[in-house]
Amino acid sequence: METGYIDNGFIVDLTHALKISEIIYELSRTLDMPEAKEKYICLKLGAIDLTAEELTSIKTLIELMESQLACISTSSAKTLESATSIDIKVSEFTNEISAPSFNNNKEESPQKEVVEALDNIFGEEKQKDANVIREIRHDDEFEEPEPNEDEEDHIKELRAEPEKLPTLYIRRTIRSGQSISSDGNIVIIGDVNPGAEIIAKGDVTVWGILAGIVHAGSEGNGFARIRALKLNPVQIRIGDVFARRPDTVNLPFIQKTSEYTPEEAFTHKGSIIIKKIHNEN
Amino acid sequence: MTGRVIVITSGKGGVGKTTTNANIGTALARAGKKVVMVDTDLGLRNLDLLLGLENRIVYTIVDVVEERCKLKQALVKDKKNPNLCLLAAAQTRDKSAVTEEQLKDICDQLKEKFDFVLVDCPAGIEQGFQNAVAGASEAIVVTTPEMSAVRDADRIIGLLEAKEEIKSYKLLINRYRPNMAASKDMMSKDDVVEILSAELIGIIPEDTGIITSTNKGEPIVNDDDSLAGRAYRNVAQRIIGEDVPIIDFEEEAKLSNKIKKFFSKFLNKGKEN
Repeated sequence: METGYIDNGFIVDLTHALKISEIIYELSRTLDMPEAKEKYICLKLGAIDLTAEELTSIKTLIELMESQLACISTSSAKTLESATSIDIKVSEFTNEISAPSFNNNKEESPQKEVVEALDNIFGEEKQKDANVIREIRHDDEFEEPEPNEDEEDHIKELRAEPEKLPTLYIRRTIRSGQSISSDGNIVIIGDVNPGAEIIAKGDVTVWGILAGIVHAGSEGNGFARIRALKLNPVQIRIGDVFARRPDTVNLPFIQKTSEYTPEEAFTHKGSIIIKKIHNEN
Repeated sequence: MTGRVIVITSGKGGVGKTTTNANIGTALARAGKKVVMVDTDLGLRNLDLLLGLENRIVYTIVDVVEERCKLKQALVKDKKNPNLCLLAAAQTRDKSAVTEEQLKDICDQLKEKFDFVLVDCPAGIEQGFQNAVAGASEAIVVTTPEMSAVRDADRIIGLLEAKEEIKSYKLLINRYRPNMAASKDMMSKDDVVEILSAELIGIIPEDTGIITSTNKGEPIVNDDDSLAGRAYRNVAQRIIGEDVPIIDFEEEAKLSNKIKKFFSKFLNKGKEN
């Protein structure tokens, strides 16, 4: 054991954390601050028992947030053993260290939802849990970032993929219980009622009201798009991103009108956004 | 833990099986019990709508059976009550997608983790009914005080009695209009009980609030002022084993009729003067 001192770094005090999910949550919150980039992090852990895998995932998280894990302190023999087995330095730091200390505010307990979601990730079930689907975001003011010129080739390919796919063209109303799926794009002239399901490898376009479940980019293309005269789907899935209709928009049916402003759905940083398509004057 | 698996069935459609399921489930969960509702009405699912959970369904019972996901992943948690879960039916498949053995297996797994497994049965007496009943050991037969519904309930009770696994069944009278029963324009609860000779677990009065609550995706038991909500909470208490009297709506109706008559006379007198 040695007394810890770190140049260009700080200590994160997590002695009160009893669960791995709390550690991950607080750590990701602290490291998200701009002053926390490219620093050496010392983790002050309490009595929590961590396995080598859990410590590795903590280390990976810190590296993902553009910092380095310098050392940890712990009062658990098991954590100590795990840390030694994967070459993480263990120190004992005192309060008189000159490095700035980020004491996480203990009154503000981590949001229960987030901890639950993280529990799901670190628990036995690692797949998508039905209870953590985000809500669809309606945002007509959203400014889409221009595609980056120097983005990688496979991203460019994904972006352009729907244009190269064949298209299934249907001219009728798709009713509850009916399922339309295609290895290409799907164009429907008519409504898609609640309880119906549209699954396409490419884009989905509906000349009518889209109210069922719709999945574009079903083989993982997150750049696929969904367009309709009125987008009111129960659930939208684009690539691997799922989103549900907000509970506040609990419309059992949509009033038909003579005027529609077409809408478009796309993914942005893991959420799905619906935006009205206006003429660009 | 071994929970109780209760199937809610009726034979006739439209008598309120799904509404009963949603409300009893919610009431049991409000009473602190861990409850899971299983919708077996493949292709015509509604339970998710009544609970307002339609937008949260990712996996259905068919996905579980065909091993596209684990059972735990397919359980959708209720918006308000963490004790309440739903295993949804698939909308784009039909009754043949699940077999009796598979449903029994799912119910057996669920009763390890929950106090109550409520199985919502489709209308009819075909495969869908056979599937729904397969895993259950108790049944609630829903009927309305109409000849056709009572006749179908009688047929269902006959089928349930023939099943060894069903240890007990209770009768629930739905959409009851105490006023009409009091004036002999409708079958009374005593008539229904006499025809079916089954033990009564509750009477739910006709309530226009049910329509609103269905459209909102919010079970009526959450409305503390509603009479139907009160009746459903009453049924849930009786399922748990509490000794609460069945609300006698007929007596209440007779009383309110008398009061109305009294006041109308009083008011008419006022007008004449």
